[in-house]
Amino acid sequence: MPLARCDVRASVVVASTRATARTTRSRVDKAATARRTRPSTTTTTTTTRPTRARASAREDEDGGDDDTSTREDAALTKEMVDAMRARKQRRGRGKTPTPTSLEDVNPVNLGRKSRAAFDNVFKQFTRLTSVQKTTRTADGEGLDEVYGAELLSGSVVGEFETPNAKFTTVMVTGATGRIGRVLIRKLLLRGYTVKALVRKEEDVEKLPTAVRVVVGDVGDKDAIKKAMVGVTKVIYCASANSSITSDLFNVETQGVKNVVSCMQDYYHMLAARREGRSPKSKVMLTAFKHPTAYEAWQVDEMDVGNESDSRWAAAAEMQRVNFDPLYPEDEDKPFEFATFNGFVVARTGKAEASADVEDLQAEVDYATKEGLLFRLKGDGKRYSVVLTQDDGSKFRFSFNTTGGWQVIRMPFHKFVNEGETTYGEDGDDILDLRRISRIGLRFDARKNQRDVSMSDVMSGSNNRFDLTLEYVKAIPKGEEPDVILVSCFGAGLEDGDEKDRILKAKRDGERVLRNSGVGYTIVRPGELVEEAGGAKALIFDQTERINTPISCADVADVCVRAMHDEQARNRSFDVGYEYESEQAEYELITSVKSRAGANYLTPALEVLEKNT
Amino acid sequence: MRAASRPASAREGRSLARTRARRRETARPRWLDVGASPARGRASRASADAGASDTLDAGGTAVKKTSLLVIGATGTLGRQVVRRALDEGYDVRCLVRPRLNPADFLRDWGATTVSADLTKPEMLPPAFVGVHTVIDCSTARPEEDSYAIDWEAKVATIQTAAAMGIARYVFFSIDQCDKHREVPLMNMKYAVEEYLKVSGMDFTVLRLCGFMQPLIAGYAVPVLEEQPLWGTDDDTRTAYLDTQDVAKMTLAAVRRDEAANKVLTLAGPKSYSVREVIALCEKLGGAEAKVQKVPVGLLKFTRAFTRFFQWSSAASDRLAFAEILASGIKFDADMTETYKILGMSEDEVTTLEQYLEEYFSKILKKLKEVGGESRQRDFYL
Repeated sequence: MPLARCDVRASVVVASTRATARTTRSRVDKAATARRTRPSTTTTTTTTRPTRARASAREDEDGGDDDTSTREDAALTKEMVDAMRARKQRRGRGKTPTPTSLEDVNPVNLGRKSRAAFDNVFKQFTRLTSVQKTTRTADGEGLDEVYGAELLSGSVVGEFETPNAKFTTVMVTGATGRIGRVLIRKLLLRGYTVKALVRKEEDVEKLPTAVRVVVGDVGDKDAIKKAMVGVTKVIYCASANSSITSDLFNVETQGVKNVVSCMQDYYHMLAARREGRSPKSKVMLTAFKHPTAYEAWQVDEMDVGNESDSRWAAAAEMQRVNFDPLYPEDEDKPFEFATFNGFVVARTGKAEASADVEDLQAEVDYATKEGLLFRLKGDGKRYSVVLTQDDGSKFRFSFNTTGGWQVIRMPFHKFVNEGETTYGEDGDDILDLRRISRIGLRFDARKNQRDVSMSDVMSGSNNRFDLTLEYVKAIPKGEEPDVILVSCFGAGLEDGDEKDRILKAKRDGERVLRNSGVGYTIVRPGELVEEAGGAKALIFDQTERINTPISCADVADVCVRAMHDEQARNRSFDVGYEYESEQAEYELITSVKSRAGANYLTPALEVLEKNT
Repeated sequence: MRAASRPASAREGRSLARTRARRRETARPRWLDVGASPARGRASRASADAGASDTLDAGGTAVKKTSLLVIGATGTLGRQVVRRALDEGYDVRCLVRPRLNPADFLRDWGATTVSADLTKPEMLPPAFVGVHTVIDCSTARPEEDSYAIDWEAKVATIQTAAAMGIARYVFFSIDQCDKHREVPLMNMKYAVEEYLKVSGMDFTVLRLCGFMQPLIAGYAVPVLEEQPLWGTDDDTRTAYLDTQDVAKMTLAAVRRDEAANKVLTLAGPKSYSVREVIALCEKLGGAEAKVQKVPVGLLKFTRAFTRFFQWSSAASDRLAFAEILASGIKFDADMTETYKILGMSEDEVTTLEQYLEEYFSKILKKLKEVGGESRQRDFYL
C-alpha cells in the first residue's frame, strides 16, 4: 500500500531535524485519537516526493508546474500569488467524484463520520471563546505533518538555527565543565551535531541525550582519534582540575596538541582518499635533514656598502657566510639540521641565504597560504625572513631569537616592503603572493646594534651570527576557525606560583595551537561567573587589560559565534563584561552595546589584530 | 454540584488562600519556615541579598542562582522559555507529566526532566530541591479539568515552592483577569495571583494578552487553504506577542531584581482585532478568507443553554468567555514601565506584521517546493 511508504519517508525526513521530530512525537498521542476516527485517509506528509507521487497519481496534467515559476527570493511576494493561483487551479481540477460504495452507507461509519463532523463544529465553536488559544486545538494535529511542526507552531523565527549547523559536527572537550555544559546546550539548540569527550563513564549521565559521547581523556590519543571521526570543528574548553604541573601539562598543553594532531590526521586520511592535500595541515617546504635542501638553499652574494671604496671592498673580503648541514658530534649519525652562521662587517654587514620557490620540496600556491613557519634555534640576535617577488622587490619579516628552539609563525600580511615605501600608489606595498620567487633568511648587523652592549661592539661579537634550522613550512589559509580554545589570562587567579604555572601551561597550549596550521580562535575570558548570559555588553581586547568578569554562558556564546566567523580565524582575544562605571575613564577598545539579535562578534573582532 | 466548590469570586479565592496560608503557618515545622508571613519573608531575603545566598534557614548548601524549574515545559510558551533559559546558561529542570518517555526534546536540548503529576501534590517536593527560581507555564489543556490544574494544582505548587524556599516564583496570568471574574479561568488566575502575593515568596506575575503562534493555525493556515474561518462579530482587540519574546521577557524578569513582587502585563507593540488579523493574512497570503461569522449572541445563548445540564457544564465554562467578548474588551497595556523594569526596549520585540510576513514567506516557499498540492481535508463531509 503506497500510504505506508509515504509515512515511513515522512518520519525519516522529520527526524533529520531533531527538534522537529520531537515536537511531532509529543503530539502524536493526541493526534492518534484523532486519527483513529478517520482511518487511513490522512495522507499527509512533509516530504516532497510522496506528495508529488500522490499528486501525479491522481492528476497527471499538472506536472510541469514547478518549472514555470522562478526560484528567486526577491520576487517572493509575486511568487506567493503565483503559488496560490496554481494551487487554486489544481484544486478545482483535482476533485474527482468519489464512487459510492457499500462502505459509505455503513451505519457505523456514518455515525462515526457525523460524530466527527459535530466534534469539529463544536471544537471550532468553543475555540472562539477560549481565553488561551493553543495550537493543539482544532486542526492542530492534521496540519502539523503538512507544514512541519516547527512551521506550524510558529517557531519559524530562526533565532536559534544556524544555517551551517546541519553540516557541522562539533567536538567539545571539557563538556561537563562550567563553560562546556552551557556550550553543549547552545550547540544542540542550534541544531549542531555534538560529540563530547568525557573523562569518566559516569559523566555520560550528566550530558544531554542527543550528545554523542566518547569516554576518554585528552591525554589519550586513541580515544580522541575515535571521537574525531566526522568532526568539523573542535571547541576545547577542558581545563585541568588541579594545579599540579603534570596535570596542567597533560590537559592544557599536551591535550591541545593531541586534539589538533588527531584532527589533522583525520583530515589527512580524508584527503588521501581523494588524493589531495588536507586543508588543515601545513605543507613542508624544506626539511633541512634532506641533502637536497642544500641544493636549493644558497648563500647570496651581498653588496656591502660602497663598492668603489676600497676599504669596504677589503671588509667585504673578510665576510664569512656559511649555510651547511650541521653534522652531529657523533659522526655515524646523519645530520638533522642546517646551520646558517658566520660573521659580517660591523654595522652594515649583511648575510643572506635563500632558495628559489621552485626548488623547494613542495610547489605551493602561496595565495592559499596564511604564512610561513620556521623552526629554528638562534643565538639571541635578530634575524629576518625575506620574500622576493619576481620583479625583485623584497618583503621582510623580522624576529628575535631566544637562544633556544623556537617555532616562529610569520603571516604573510606582516611582511613589509623593503624598498622605498610608495604610499598612495597602488599595490606596490603589498606582497603579491602569486609572485613570490625566493624565500630567504637574513642576518643584518645593523639590526643588531641596538640591543648589544658596548663590549660586544668592541669585541666584534655583534657581527657574528649562528642559526640552526630544522624546517620551513607553509601554513594553510582558511575561512573559519577549526579549533576554538578557551584559555585565560589569569583573571581571577591569585598572584603567585600557582598562577604562573597555570598561565605557563595555558600559553604553551596556545602556542601549540597557533603553530599547528589549523585555523584557530583563542578566547581568553575574564573571571567566570555563573549567571545568565546575553544580558550585558561585552568588551573585546588583546592586551590583558580587562578586569571585569564574564558569565560562562557569554563565553559559550562567543565560542559558538566564532565557529563560523571569518574574523575569528587566527585571532586571540580577551573578553569580559563592559565596565559599568559612569565616567568614561578608560579607553574603549571594542565594545558591543546591543546584544539583541544580530551578530556582535564580527564587528568586535574586525578591529583586533590577526594572527595573534 | 461541582461548580459550587469552585472559587466563585476572587474574594472567595483570596480568603481560601489566606486560610491555607494561615494553616501552613501553624502546621509547618520551623526549619522549613522560609516565608511564613510576607513581612518576615521579605526581611530574611533582604539579608540574603546582602551576601549569604539563598539557603534554607537550617543552613543547607547554597542554591545556584542559575537553577531553574519550569512547570509546563512542553507547552507553547513553556518550550520557548526552556530554550531561552538554556541559551542564557541556566540549568533547567522541567516538570513533565509522567510518561514512558517524557518529553524527549527537552532532554535533547540539555534540560533535565522530572516526572510529576501536578494533581498529585505528594509528587511535587522532590522536583523543587536545589532550585532557585520557578517558572510556572502550566495551564489545563482543553480536554483537561481546568479547576484541578489551574487552581488546585497551583495552590499545591505554590505551597510546595514556599515551603522549599524558592527565591522567585514566576506565574503567568491573563490580562484583565481582575476585571472579568465571571470567566472561570480568569477568576482562577486572579485567585492564584492573590494567593501568590500572600505566599511569602518573591513572585513575578506576568499577565499575558495573546500569543501570535495560535494565529497561524487559527487564521493563517485556513486563509491559505481557503477553509472556512470561524469568527465572531465582536470588537475584541489583542496586542499579540511572539512566544519567543514572551520567553525573553520572562527571563529578563527572572534576572532582574526590579521585577520582584510585581504584576506586569506583557503586551505586544500594537493591538489587533480578529478582523484585522484576517485582513493581514489575506494580504500576505494572497488569498481571500471565507469567514463564518458567529454572532456573540448565539455564543451567549449556547452558554446559557449548556449551563442547565451538569454534563455540559464544562462546555459552559469554556463558553463563558463569550460574555466578555460582547463587551469589546481590549487586551493591551502600556509597556513603557514594563520595558524599564525588564531592561528591554520596544525594538527588540517582533511585531505581528513581521511575524506573519516571515511565516508566509517561509510557508509559501515550502508549499511551492512540495508542488503546491497539499492534501484533502474535507473527508468528514
